[in-house]
Amino acid sequence: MDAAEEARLVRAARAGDTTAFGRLVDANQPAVRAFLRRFVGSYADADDLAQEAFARTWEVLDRFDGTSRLRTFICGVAFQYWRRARRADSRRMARDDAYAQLEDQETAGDARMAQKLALRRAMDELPDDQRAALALCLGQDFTHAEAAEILKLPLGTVKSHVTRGRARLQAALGVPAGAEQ
Amino acid sequence: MSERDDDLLMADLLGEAPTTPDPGFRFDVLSRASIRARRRAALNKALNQVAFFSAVGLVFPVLGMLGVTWENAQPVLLAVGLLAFGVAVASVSILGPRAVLARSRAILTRA
Repeated sequence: MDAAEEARLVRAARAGDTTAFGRLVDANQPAVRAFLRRFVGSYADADDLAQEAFARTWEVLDRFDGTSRLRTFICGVAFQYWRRARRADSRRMARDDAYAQLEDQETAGDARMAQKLALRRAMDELPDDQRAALALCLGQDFTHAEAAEILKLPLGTVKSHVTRGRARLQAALGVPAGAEQ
Repeated sequence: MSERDDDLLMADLLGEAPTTPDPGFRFDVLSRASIRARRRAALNKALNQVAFFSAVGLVFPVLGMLGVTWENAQPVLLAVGLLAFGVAVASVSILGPRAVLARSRAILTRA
């Protein structure tokens, strides 16, 4: 969806057009859900958070100034939601338990699963901002500038988070840093 | 493997992006938005009711403090009561569950 079409749909959604908002949800859900899946870890929790973020976006669509893409705004809403929900921390504990169970079931031949678990563990050990920056930028879904806007961090900090975080994840996968270039 | 490929592989291992728009997801979002709107409307209604009945409850002690007795306030209270009754009848007629004037309101809204 191009920026002009998005702006037109945003105007219609602000006027109360739920069909237009539905189209915006369809267009933006892959990027938002991918970010949250990579960031949160659990698909169910990520999708739950994504739905809350979209529903909240419907309420605060008037605050979207249109200087960036809508998906940036929605990811910002989702990140703020996650920060507030993190205080309870119960979901994270439940997820850790699920990983522990997965680890028990892991077989030596399932290399992809082992990689996934190693990456997930490495990701969970990263500081929150660094993890969020990586989740946004790794899949090439968001630029560094967009990530900086979502996380409300300086651009240089985001670039540094991504570089350092990538090195940690590569180490978890057994790839020497810089070896792939 | 290039850095870009490496990043995409790691991103894929951490969590796959949904490839096609999911109508179920859209339905859930709209449903949540509707629930949140209803909840907000109910909260506003409750706050308005609390404010209204608190104000009504405060009228009598305040009048008592100002030295207004039942006898000298009677005409004013009668007029206020009649006005409130008129407002209630009008509200029920226009907005009530089986609104007498609902058809007229719909026509006016459409126009």
